[in-house]
Amino acid sequence: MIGLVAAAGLLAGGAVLAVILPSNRARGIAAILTQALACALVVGVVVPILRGAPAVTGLWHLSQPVDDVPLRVDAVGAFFLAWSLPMTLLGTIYAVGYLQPWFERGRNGAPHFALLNIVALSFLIIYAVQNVLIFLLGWELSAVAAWLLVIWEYRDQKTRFAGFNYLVSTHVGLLVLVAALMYLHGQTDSMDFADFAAVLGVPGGGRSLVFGLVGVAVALKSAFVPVHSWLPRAHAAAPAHVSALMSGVIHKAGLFVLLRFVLLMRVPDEWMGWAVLAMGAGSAVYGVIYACVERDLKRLLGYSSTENVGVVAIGFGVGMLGLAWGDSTLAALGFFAGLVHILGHACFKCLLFYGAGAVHRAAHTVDIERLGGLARRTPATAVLFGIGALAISGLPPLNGFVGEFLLLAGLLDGSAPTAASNAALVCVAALLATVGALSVLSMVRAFGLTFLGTSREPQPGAEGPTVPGAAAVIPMAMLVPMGVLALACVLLGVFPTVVLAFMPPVVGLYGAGTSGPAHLLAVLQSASAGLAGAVVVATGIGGARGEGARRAVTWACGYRLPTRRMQYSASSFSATVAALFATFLGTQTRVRLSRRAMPQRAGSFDLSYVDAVERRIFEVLGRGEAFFVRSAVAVPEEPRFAFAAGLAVLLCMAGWLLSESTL
Amino acid sequence: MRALAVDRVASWLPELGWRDWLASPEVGRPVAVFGRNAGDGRVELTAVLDHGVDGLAVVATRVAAGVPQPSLAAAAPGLAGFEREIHEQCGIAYVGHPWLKPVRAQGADSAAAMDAYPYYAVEGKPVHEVAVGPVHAGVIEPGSFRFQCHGERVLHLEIQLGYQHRGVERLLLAKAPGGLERAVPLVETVAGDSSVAHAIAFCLALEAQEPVSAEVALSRGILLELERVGIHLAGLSGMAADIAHLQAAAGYGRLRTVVINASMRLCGSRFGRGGVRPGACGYALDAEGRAGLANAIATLKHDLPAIDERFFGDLAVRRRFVGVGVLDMKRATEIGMVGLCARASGVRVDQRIGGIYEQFPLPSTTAATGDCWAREWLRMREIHESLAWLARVLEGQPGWARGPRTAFSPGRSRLCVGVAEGCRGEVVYALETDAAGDVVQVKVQDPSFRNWMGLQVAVRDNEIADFPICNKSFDLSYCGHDL
Amino acid sequence: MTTPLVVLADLAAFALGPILAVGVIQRTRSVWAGRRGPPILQPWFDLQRLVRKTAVYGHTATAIFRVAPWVGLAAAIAGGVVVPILGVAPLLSFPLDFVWLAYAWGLGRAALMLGALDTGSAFEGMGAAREATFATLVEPALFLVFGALSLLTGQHALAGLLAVQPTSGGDVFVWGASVAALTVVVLIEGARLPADDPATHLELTMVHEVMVLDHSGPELAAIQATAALKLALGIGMLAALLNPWSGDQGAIGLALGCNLALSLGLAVAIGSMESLAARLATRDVPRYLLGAVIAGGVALLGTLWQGAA
Repeated sequence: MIGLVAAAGLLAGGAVLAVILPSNRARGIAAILTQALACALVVGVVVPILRGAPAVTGLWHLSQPVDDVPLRVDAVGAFFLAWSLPMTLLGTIYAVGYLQPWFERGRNGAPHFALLNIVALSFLIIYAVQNVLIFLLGWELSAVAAWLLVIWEYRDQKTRFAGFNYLVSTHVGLLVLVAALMYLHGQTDSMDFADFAAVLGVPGGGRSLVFGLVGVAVALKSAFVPVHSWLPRAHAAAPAHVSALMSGVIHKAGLFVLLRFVLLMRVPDEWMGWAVLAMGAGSAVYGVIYACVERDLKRLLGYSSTENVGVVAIGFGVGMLGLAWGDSTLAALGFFAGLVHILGHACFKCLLFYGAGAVHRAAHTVDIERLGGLARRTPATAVLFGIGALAISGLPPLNGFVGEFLLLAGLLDGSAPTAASNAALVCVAALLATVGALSVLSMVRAFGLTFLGTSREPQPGAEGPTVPGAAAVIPMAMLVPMGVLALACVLLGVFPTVVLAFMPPVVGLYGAGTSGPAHLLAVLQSASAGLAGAVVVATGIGGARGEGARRAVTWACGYRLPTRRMQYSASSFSATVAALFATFLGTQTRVRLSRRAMPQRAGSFDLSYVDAVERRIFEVLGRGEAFFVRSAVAVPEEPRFAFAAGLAVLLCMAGWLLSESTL
Repeated sequence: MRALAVDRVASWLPELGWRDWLASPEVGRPVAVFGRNAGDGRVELTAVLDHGVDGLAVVATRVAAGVPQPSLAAAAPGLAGFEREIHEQCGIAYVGHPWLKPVRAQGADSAAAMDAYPYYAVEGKPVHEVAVGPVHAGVIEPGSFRFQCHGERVLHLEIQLGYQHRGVERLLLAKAPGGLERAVPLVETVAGDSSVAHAIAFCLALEAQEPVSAEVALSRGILLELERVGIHLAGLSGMAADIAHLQAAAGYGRLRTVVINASMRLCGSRFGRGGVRPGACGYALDAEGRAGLANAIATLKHDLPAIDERFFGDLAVRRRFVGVGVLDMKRATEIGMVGLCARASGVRVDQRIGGIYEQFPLPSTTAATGDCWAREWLRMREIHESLAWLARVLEGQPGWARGPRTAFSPGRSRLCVGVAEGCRGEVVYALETDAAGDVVQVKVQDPSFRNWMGLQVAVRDNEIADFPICNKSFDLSYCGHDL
Repeated sequence: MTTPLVVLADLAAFALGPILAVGVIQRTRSVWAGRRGPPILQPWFDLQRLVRKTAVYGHTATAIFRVAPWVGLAAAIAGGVVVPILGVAPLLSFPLDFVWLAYAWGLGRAALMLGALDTGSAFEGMGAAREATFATLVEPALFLVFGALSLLTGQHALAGLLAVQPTSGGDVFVWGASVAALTVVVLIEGARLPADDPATHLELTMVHEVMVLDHSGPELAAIQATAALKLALGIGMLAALLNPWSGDQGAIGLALGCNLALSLGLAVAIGSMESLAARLATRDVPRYLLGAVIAGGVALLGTLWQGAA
């Protein structure tokens, strides 16, 4: 416990240092050093818990605003803490390189580095504190810190709007969470999470109410459909490392809350499991469809976050069903899959966002329709981004596949009590496979059209379409975090049994044994190792064949003078899929094509996608507002009428109060 | 098959009158419009018009060279191709022409001009371009296709031809002093799969002053219809192969062999070369030959219906062709389409009137929908109609012997036009002689010259994967366009 | 359990199966067209010829273009080791290995698509887009079928799933729908008609072939070998599903013989179907694949009726 408090103090001190030190370089170093030390301290505390030691508890004596703050780090909190702080550290290292152009223009990085430290501090509070009030404080701290980090480019109105959108969404989530916690406090008269188990362990209306409210709060925090649209908007506006931290780390706090409440419930109702499953499936499908058609790389990755969080929710839904049915293998598979996917998603999503930031540094845009051929200008970024893209598509032998494999194992287990449930789970498995195939499409499109081929816009220093521009320099501070994460993706994918070193206690909290997953992971490891070896051999063969090979113009039907437009565009790549899933997409087309036989003026064709759910929500809100306006107009503007209505309400209230006092 | 010979000077109109003639809709359909540098700073423009059953007519005018002319193409897109050709050959700049682009690789810097062809573009980042050619991945002729696409949908197609320009008109003109009647073998190579049609049109132009006997006309008609049947069978076989309908591809292909072997037995060439000669029958037909030909026709009549049923009755084939590559009648008339492609869109234009067709009429069918299905169905119908005509014509035919070679002179100050209906459409040959009797211009026009625009318009808003069957259904000639 | 003899037989099937599968199909098509056709070992001669050639690479191509075909081949082999190609026992078997199969082949497909995009040409991009789109509809069909069979048999390994012996009416229903859906999946994975014509020269209509238009020499040989291998493995899977003695450890010879006969029959049937049916329009292929998904759904519904628990 001392370690945790010390780490908190270090982080706070680092934030102060970041503000008072004179140069950006010094601020960056202060932030990185304090975060690194805090990391080491926290990891030292949590690793034993993940290896099976009992939870660390402590009491931190305070007088204001609460009396004593109970600290408790159990396996679930330890799991989240174990990688949240190192990821934030990598993000800060990346920020030093990424924000270089702004610093050179004289921008003060003090608030930014301080906020990064505060974000890390908020993790400590959220994952380690048992007191509801302090927990909410940490929750709010992380939300506000993230907001301030997002609006780094506050001079742009779009960025300000994106930040404001995020702020509103996260505060609506806070309100709902506060409502749930207030209800629990009213029932148990305690501020300690552990005491809520008394209410949550009993099936009934109270538990269902809390579950519903927590579900809404989790949906808002972690960007589930239908309240997800702030995420792509915020990601498009924020600097790359902030998007990475938000998607990969900060919003996992919502899932942590879900896990915490499930733990407190012990044995959830079956309908809760199905509800979480459905929410996850819906988010996965919706998110991946939009990831297939977006042309802004960061918005694409934002929708992909919705998809992956949906996959995690499917896993947790399966786990909850396992708990409800008393099937400990199923519960183990479900929770294992979800947790592995959370960790994996943190790795490859951060990697992809860092890669997008490098793309922005090299080409000054993240619009896929204007990019192309970056692999020859930034080979290191291309390789690392490629590893991230393959990992997020869930392809073996990388770590995205591990979570999907375990999840499919749970869904196809066939151990549900009724045939209908089994069939439903198989349907979800097929849906998951579709989501996987769509995610392959979206990532091949994103990676392929950005890095491969030739640039779709003229490059300075390139004489013709097939000549690449000048090599772009990406600083080491940006490449090193990407490299570390790529290595993690590869290692976790090829040696998935590594997770068995620290996961079992987490899953064991839910009463689920890990022999099933362990066996599956062992087999998967052999297969992955074999595949990885084969891929390495294949890469060797393919790479060696390039030495002194003949080169010519790309064949493709003999046109001798390829232009930049003669490459598939991003919109064309996903055109058929967009047509197949047109009901989910909000397509906006602007077409001007001549009907003449020999048109003279060049035609134009443009296609863009807006979030259909968000548009629908605002449509309904607008109609609701119109309804209220019409009703208000319909009510006659008579002062006597309003007076009479007010009098009636007062009489009712007085009558109710009187009846309450007499009872 | 029709021919016309007029006095060159008598057909001249003043410039304004000529333009009014062409622009007004009541005057006949323009069959060919071409120009010639008269040498004295003037350019002669000639228009051949079709008055239907009333025959052909010619109007001509002379304009000053180097002076820009107002273009009629904006109002009448059917004249656009003619104006482009005149601009390229005679240097007249047409003001207000929507697409004044190179037609063939003529001129000094032809290679650079071909590379710098200004393709129409649809702007927008979601749009990508697909460029096919000029080198294709099969043994087909060179042509450059530029698609503007979004996903699978073709927004626009533009075709650049002219890679096979051989200078046929120049070559024919060079052969004129030695006697144009000796140039028929060259004419047969203009478009190798319409050899008979080109040869007939050329001979008609040569013989325009003194038409040949019915026997000679009949001998030519038989070869022409045999060629039509053969090429249509090849077209059907190719279409079937493109949609992987192997039964029909093999079936039609086998029957095509029967037809071209019949042609071989008649005139010694599978493609009818040497069978048409000016002034006389190019081949002999005796009782044995007649029986052999009748046999071949009977085989076709017997075997075709089964394959037709298999191909045209297949629902999958119907799904592939119906509604694909639609060219409606209004558009087809506007562009000035001719031949089979026009008839498939409902436009009645068929040059199989006059000549031998007065004695033995050949009914001409049209289709209504103008899609790939209509074009293929019309091919099948024309095969049957040609076979029926051949059988009728051969009945009780005494036969003929090969005729002697005759020398020809088209006269002095004459303009002679010959028109024949080839398998694709009307083939036009025009000869012009000056006051001394020397040939000053030989104009060649293959129906493909008029029809390539139709393909470009028909493919719009179709799937790019359907382009090969659209292209195949039009079945246009590259070398016929390029001359 | 796999004996050394069975392992050797499986390896031989891995090596010879692709060549014979493509050869028999090609021969059947020629016979239907009234020709003699090439020898059955022609695909082997083609591969030999391609391997001897020198490859030419485009100016825009990076190392990904050279590596992709080999990764595709490695992924196809790595995924295919779990398929009981001879209906007896696969080289490797573990629970949920059909998931491994689907995703390993997905890796191969992703590698080929990246190789296609590396050329910077609209044709290969078009092929990659089509391949990716059709894959999104193939995956649910595959998982619905395997899920239904898993619920029916209670097994989780591919060999066990394919060894299903339908006894009652409900079983036959599920089994029949699974065969239908699996046939469509196998034809798509092997890039055959009615969705993709391997014999066409029209690039604008191709799906798989146009994706690999720029490859030449040994890379093209690897790609053709991959497609043939996936086709052979697919035929082996279908044969194992149809085989009454599939996975029967007591009647290995019978299972082997029956599977070989069924594979030959399936290859002839595929060749006949390709000769007699026309190609689908590209816009109709998603509908055709949706039919396979519905068949898979029907198979799943059949398990409800069966009351499998």
